[in-house]
Amino acid sequence: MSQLCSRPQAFLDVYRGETTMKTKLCKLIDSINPAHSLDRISNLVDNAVNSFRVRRGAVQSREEFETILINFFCHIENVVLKINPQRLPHPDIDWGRCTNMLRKEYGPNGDITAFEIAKSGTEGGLYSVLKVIARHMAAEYASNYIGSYISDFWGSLSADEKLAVSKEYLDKYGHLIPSELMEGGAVRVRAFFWKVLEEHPKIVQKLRNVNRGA
Amino acid sequence: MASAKILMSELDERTIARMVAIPHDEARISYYLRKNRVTDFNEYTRVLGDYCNHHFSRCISHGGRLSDAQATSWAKEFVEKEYRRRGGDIVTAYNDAHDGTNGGIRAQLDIIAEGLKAEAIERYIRDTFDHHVAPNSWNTKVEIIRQFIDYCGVHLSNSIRRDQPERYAQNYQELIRSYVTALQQTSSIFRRL
Repeated sequence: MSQLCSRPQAFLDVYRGETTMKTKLCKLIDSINPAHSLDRISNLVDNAVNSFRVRRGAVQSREEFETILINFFCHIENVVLKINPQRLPHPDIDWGRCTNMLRKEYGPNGDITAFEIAKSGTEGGLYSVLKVIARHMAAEYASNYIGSYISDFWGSLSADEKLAVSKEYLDKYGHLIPSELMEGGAVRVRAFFWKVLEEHPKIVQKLRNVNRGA
Repeated sequence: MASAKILMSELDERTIARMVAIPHDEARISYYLRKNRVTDFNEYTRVLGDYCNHHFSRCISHGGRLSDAQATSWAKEFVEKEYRRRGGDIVTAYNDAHDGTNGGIRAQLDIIAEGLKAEAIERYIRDTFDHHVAPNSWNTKVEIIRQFIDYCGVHLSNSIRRDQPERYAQNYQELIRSYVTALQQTSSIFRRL
C-alpha cells in the first residue's frame, strides 16, 4: 500500500495525513479494506450463526417462526456488536427489522414466503431463511461500518481536497474502472465518488478471490 | 396397478422435504462448530470429516459411522466439486477456511450438507420411480405415461402425442421429472407473490 501511495511531494502536501506519509485517502482505504470490514464482519456473523441453536429443521406455526427469527436476530446482534450485558429480544422492533430483510430477499410478502419455506422445508427450509437473515445483517453492518468511515473522511475534506482525492483515487485504481467511465475525465466517477468509495472494498474483495488456490 | 397420481404426490416437493430434506437440515443445524476458522490443513480435513460423519450417522445410517478416511475423502469431494464450479479448488477452499473468508468453514459444512441432501433426494426419487414402475415392465411404463398425459396433458406441449403413450414410455422418468421440476419452479414463483 505504501508503494501505491508514493506521490510527488507537492501533490502530497495538498492532502496528506498529519503524522505519516500516508495520504488521507490511503488511510481511508486501509480502514475500509475488506479484511477489516467485509471479512471481519462476515466472520463475526458466521460465528454467531454457528452458536445459535435451533431444535428443528421446520416450524409448525407462525408464532414459532417469528420467535425463532426474533431470537436469532437478537443473538446475532449480541455477538457481532459484543453487547454486554446481552440485550433481550424486543419482538416488535426485531421482527420489523427481520421483515425488512425478508422483503428484500423474497419480495413484497417476504415474511409470508419465508414462513412457507420454513414450514414446508422446501427451498432449504428454516436453515436457509436463517442464513438469509444472517447474510443481510452482515451486509448491513458492513455497510454501516464502511459508510461511517467514508462519511467522516468526506466531511473532513475541503472542496479542493475532494477534487484532489478523486484524482488520486483514479490515478491509483483507475485500472479497476470500466474504460468508458474513464473517458472525458471520468466525470461520472467523480460525480458519484462517494458511491465509488463505498463499493471499493467489495471490488477489492472480488479481485482478491482471483487465484486464491495458487 | 401403477398410479401416476400417487407417483406425482410422492414426488411433490413438500413430500420430498418432509421425507428427506428436513432431516438433513436438522442434521446440519444440530452440528456445533466452535470456531469458523482452521489453523492448518490437518485440522481442516478433520473438521470436514467429522461433520460428514455426523451428518451420515444422523440421517443416513442412523448410528453407523464411516471410517475417518472415507468421511474426509467424501467431504472433500463435495467441497472441491462446488469450488471447481466457482473456478477454485480444494486449496481455495482451505484458504477460505483458514482465513474465515467467503463464509469460512461454516459455508463449507453447508456445502457438504447440501451435497448429502441432494444425493439423498436423488435416491428417494429413483426409489419412488422404481417402486411404482418396475424398470423391466414395459406395460407399466406405458400405463404410467398414459395416466400422466391424462392427468397433466393440458399443461404439456402440443407436440406431445396424447394418443401414443408408447412413444414416451422408454423416457417416462425424464418426462415426469421435468414436469415435477417445472412445478417446483412455479411453486417458488407463487410463494414470492
